[in-house]
Amino acid sequence: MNFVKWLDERTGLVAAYSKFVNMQAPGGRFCCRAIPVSLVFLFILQALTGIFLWAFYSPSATSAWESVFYIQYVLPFGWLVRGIHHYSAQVFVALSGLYVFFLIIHGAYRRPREFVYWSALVMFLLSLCSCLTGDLLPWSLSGYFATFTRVAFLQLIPGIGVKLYQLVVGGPDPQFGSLTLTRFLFLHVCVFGGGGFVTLCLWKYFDFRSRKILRNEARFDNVHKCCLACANKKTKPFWACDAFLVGLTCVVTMAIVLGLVFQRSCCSEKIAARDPSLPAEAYLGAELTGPVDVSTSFDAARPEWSFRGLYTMSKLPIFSKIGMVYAIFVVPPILVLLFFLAPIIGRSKFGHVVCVVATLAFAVVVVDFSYKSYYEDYSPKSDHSASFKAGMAEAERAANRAVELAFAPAGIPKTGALTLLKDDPYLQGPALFNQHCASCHNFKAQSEELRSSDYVEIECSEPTAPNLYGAHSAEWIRGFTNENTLADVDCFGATAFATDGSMIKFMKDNVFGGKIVVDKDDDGNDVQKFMLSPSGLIGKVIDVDGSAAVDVLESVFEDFCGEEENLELINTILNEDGDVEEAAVDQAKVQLIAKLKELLAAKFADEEFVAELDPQVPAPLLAALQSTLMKTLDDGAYQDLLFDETALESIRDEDYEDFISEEYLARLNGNEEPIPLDELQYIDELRDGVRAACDGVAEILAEEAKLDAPRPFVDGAYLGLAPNAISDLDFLNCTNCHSFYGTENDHACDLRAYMSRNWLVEFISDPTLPKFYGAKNDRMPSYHPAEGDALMTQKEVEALADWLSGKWYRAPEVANKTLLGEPGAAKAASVAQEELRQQEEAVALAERLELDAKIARQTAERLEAEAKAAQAKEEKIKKAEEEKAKKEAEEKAKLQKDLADAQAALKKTTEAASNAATEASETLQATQKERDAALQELKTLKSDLDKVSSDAADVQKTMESEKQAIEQNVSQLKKQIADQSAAHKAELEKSVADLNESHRQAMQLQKEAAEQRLAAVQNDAQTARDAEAAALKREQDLKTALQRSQSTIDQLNARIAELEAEISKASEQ
Amino acid sequence: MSKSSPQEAKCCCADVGDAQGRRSFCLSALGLGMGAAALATPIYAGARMALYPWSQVGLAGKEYQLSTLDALSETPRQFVITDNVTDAWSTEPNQTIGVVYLRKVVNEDGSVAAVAFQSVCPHAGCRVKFGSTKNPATGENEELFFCPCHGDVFYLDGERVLPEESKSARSMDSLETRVDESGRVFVKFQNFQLGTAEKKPV
Ligand code: FES
Repeated sequence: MNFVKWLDERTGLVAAYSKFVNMQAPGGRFCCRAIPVSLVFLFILQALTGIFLWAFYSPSATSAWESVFYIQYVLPFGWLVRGIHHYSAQVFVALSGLYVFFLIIHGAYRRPREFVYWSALVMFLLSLCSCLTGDLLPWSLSGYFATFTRVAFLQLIPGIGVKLYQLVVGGPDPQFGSLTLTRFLFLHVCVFGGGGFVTLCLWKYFDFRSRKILRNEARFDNVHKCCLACANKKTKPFWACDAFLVGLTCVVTMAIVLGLVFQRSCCSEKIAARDPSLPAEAYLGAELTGPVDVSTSFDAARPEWSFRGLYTMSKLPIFSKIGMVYAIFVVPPILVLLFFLAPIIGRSKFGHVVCVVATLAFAVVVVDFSYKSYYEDYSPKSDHSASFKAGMAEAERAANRAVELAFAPAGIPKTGALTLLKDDPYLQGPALFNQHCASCHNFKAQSEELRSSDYVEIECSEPTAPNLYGAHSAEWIRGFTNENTLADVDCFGATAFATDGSMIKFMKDNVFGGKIVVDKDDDGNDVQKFMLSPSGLIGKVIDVDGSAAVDVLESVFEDFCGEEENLELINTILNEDGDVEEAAVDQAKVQLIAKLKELLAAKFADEEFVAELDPQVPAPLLAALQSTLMKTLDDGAYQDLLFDETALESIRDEDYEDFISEEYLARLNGNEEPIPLDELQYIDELRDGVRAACDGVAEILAEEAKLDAPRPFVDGAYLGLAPNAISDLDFLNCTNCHSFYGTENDHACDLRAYMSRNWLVEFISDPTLPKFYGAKNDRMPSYHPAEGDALMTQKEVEALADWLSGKWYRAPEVANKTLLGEPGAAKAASVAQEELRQQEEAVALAERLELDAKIARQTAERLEAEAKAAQAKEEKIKKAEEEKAKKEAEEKAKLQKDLADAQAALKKTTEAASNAATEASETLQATQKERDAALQELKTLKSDLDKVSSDAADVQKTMESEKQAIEQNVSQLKKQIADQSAAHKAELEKSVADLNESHRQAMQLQKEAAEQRLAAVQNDAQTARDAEAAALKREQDLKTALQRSQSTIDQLNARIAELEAEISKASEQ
Repeated sequence: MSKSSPQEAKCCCADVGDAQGRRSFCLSALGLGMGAAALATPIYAGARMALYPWSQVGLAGKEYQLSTLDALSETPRQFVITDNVTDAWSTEPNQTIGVVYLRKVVNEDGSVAAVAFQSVCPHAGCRVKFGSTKNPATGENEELFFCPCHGDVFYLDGERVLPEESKSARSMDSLETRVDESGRVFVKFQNFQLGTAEKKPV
């Protein structure tokens, strides 16, 4: 008890408690007090929630939105606190306005309640100001733009306007910023909030006083009866009925506020329609639009509902004539002033009537103006609604995106959420496209199926370049590989290349057109070829596929004829024995051909079989060609093929004339013009085949668009490239102009990693690079060239490329389909997604590293091989050098040897010379000897001659003796003859004659021989004399030779000296 | 709660006597309850919001790879631990969240282990240094851990040199380490309550 007394004495708490318990409520009907009670409750709500918010709010340009985001999305029930704060303020404004209105209507503003009325009016005005300042605090797009305009109007005030504005905004520059926020926070909390509190207290106090006056002096006949009745009622204990009603009022007020807090999630449809990537908090409490981005134009900037009437009024034409300043700073203050004057005006009955009527009229005008303002924005009939709705949608997009990005793993950077938005391709892409590309390029879905909710569409009024919607997709690329769509406005149709661009020409005339061209065959002869393109497309097709088809026929026939059943039929047809009827033969033929046809058809229908035929040619095209072939062969041809072994060869040889209509070929002679496609037989099949190939190319290129960089060359192939990709592009002759793997070409865009993000970055940066358009670039500017002025920053180019190629952060789906969602779901989902991404990235990284390692290994191998080659080369060089050195050495040796040789030769020559000299002298001697010998011989010959002469004398002597003997004999014989017979006389005479003759002959011979001998001896002597002369001459010659040898020796000596000098020089070297 | 007032109130729903008292009480209680309920919503929400830090998990206790076993020496080296730090709404990459000492220890059996210490002094939270200082036990200059604030000296194994005279109630806080098969050293970073003899993570 002592404690209670002690406490009471010090604090008065006990007394206060008993006073509280015994609190008296004013008498009268509660309904008159419902609004004030509600207002007090709302004020408490705002104060409470405001304090909580204040604990987390950070007033600066880079943290205001972020802290409100934190409150709204991260803190548990932050959205509720913020929602209550926001909506209770709205309700407060509405109720306080209504209260003022009712005060006038009920006449309760008149004496003695003037101060009650005035304080209520002040409270209302303060609440409006509080809303105005509070609106800016989240630093969100809508609040910013709404407040900015309203505050900017301050500058309209003549004289002090600009200074006042600077004071409010907090800086010399006409920009809102951190100082504006701190100021507004101060105004919001201290001036308007605190002021509101003071006014509220005063209002209660004045109300209390007025009741007292009313109760004490019942002389206010002008007072509304109701008020008087209330005042006259006796007070009653609060803690009874009144407490209940007050509680009820609070609950009802709270219910209204909560109703507003949940208005965006009020039904299951609304909950179901939530954006799956946004947390439930986005749909609870007060809306938070995106962070302030001064560079955007926020078309849906509108004041709060409470200022809507003023907004419409300010737009009245009269004010644009007389000046906006009247709408903002003259008319409203006058109205406020009039309201303030109401208790004075309303003193008289007439004045009261004027007040009531004016108030009613004012209320009607306010409601009407507000309605008009909303009508303009929302009614489909109004002109502005479209832009307003677009602005709202755009703001919502930015707001949602801001939330998604804030929940992204990287979070909000210190520089604020605006940085996130500024760096976000999803938001900046359209803006950049609008700014830099949309004057030429369209960006709108080509068809309903291609429309994606990911992209906003940007319309270009007069497109002069391709539509870039979905530029990385196969569908988009297909537009350019189809001759029918290529010239559409979405592709090249609107460009300068619409009619005679290389690509269009190529596609129209070459890929899908056809003409006959004269080509040279291997032997240099003219060959007429049917080609879809001058570069030989159909030529290729026919050639390749014709022969493939014949190959097939061959293999099929072999099997076909080998079958017993068919063999029988063939035998029947051949009818070798001649005993089969003709009808049976015909029937067998028909049967056989039908079977063959069937078999071939089955073969060609088998895709696998066809695909294996020729890997160079895309399967669909091949199939088309096979069927073409099938159609060309009539029954006769089949028969020929079956029974004429040369038929197949002839097909092969005749340039496949059969595969093209003969009639057509005939028409082509002398016709160089392209043939209209419709007139070509089988061209439909061919064209379908080519088109399928073109579509295939679109698919191949769409895969390229997904790459980061051109594919590396690993294991002898381009990594991940479809095996048919290169051959397909080659087949369509794409690589005649474009670069692709293994082909470098700068006539047209590089197709490696075509339309991929990095390709686009390079392309947008500088389309005039040789790997893109080069000098053929039409009008596209180089936005960030390596040299020269950049129209976009690198970051912007990257953002645009990211956007065009669909590469931006995509928020995961969030569990938000229940009223409150799952707390922390957004963060959890993003963390989970990030983990998944990191895992994938780790795998990708590992793969990439492995690949890099592989490439490195292969590079190393290559380098090693190169090194080896280099080494080999070096060795070769070394060897060559060695050889050279060796050669030099050899040369030197040779020189030395030469020298030695020369010396030897000299020596030899000297020797030879001396030998020759000796020899010469020897010869001389010999010659002398010879002369002596000849003389000797001459002597001998003379002696011989003498002997011969003596012999001849001897012979004469002998002959004379023999003559004597013979004469003796003759005489003897004469005697004998005389003795013997006369007959013998003739014989004898004859013998004598013979004897004489022989004797004469012998003499003659002997004489001749002697004469001959003499002549010979004389001749010999002559010869000896000649020899002597010759010997003398020889001697003379030898003497000259000796001289010459001497001079040669001299020369050689000189040469030796020379060589020695050379050797010494060589060795010096 | 209500007590009958001296002045007779004439309310539309007033009654007389005990019944009136009971009724007033009920009404008052109801009214009070409703008022309280209406106010409870923002108060509850605000309190939940304000008490949010209690339910949050910090970065402490996360493992960080700091070095490889081969790169460590037996002399302790300082390692700065960085992480993406989320400060309220903003996230800053690569922020320092703590400093630890890391050294290699060769056990008797020849095996090698990594030992880590918090650089925060268990006494009052100063940054413990490593370097040449006077060993209070021997008076010699030695390479030891020492705290510049109140002069505590620790051996290389974190033990206080003079446990009796130290300001700190416990030895330096060791941190859990892990060495993976490729020799990378991970440290589980934690902060501990200061001043207590027992090592309690915070
Ligand atoms: S803080 Fe380290 S000894 Fe006191």
